[in-house]
Amino acid sequence: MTINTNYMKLCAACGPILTVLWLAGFVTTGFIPALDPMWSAEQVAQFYTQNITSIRVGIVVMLLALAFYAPFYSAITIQMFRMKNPSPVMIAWFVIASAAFMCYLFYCYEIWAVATYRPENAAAVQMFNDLVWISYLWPVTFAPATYIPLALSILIDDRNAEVFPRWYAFYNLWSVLLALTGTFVIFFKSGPFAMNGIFAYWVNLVVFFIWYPITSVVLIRSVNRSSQVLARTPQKTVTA
Amino acid sequence: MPAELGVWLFVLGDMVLFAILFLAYAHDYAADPGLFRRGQAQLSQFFGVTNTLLLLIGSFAVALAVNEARGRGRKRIEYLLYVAIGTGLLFLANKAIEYTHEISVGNTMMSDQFFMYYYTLTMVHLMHVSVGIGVLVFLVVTLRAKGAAGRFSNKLESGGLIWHMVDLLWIALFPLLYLIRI
Repeated sequence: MTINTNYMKLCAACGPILTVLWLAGFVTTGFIPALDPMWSAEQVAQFYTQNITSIRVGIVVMLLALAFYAPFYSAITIQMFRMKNPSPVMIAWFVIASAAFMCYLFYCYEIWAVATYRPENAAAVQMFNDLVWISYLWPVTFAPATYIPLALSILIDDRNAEVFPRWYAFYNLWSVLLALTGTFVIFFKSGPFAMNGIFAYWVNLVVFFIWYPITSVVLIRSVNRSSQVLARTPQKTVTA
Repeated sequence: MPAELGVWLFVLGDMVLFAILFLAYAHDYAADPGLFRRGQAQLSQFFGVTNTLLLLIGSFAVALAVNEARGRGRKRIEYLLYVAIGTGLLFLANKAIEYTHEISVGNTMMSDQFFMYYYTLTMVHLMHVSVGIGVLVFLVVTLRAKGAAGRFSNKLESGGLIWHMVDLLWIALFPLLYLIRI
């Protein structure tokens, strides 16, 4: 039984690990913010050529971070099972959406890697760069598909000893709304909703990123509470 | 405190988003006032005023419903919520007519910076109206299933709070886009 909760703690600890790795990788690529969409293909290709090593290293680090998503999402899923009355469909929804989201992230890094592979072809680099950033910022609305079932499960779980705090449900709903600021990215090449603008880039990515440290804290607290409960109950309950 | 803490946090967080949107609008307006003034002159204030009135009526109905919940008048709460849902739906319809009108005279999201803000701000708000209607519908369903007893009044306060926020945001948006000219 102790072994079980230890595995659970291990999976929950993947949250902080992926947060740090992702941030480190992202900063290393140097796309802060994304390249100006008004730039010519030559300017884009030049940026890639000049920073090629740091971009590649950054992508590889983010790819490593991606390896920690599955255990992290698994830990959240199992905590959802501990809730008193979560509809199973909410858990299925969360699992499907988070799995799809991980694949989606992998696809973004893959295109990004391809963009760095032959930087001498300026037109292709520009196109792949657009593909990366439209993929990355636009369907960050993909992430809300994971926030919604999580929020709803928490809100319908009405027992007193909560698995996740209720404010965390509202926080998830708030993240859904903020993530939608990336929706308009395909309409603009300049201004606040363009891919280097305050909404499409800054609000969108910050909200997306902050979700991981906050969820890590909420999850680890919940896991610690559940292992205390397990330690006090007789041996038959192996739930976590 | 009425409603629950999480809802208040959500409302405040959401208003932060709109505050940033309003600041960005004000910033770009100051950079090119002529363009924004020309854009504003093309908007029809009729639609804006109608929608303002609709939301104010809806908010009033929700406020009455919250008040009624203290007296446990189940049927009246339900009717008042229907009134609020009705105003929300009319708001959406009115907005659809307004968008159709603007697009037919050639003002689209890509026309200029003013219309970019006009469409994005109103669309983000429109989404809030839709979510707000969803919350009100949820309240009616809960009321019909479980009655006004127990925790219903707390849920009604939370839902009402969200609806008032939708209203409040429009009260800020309406003058910004339609009225204030510098």
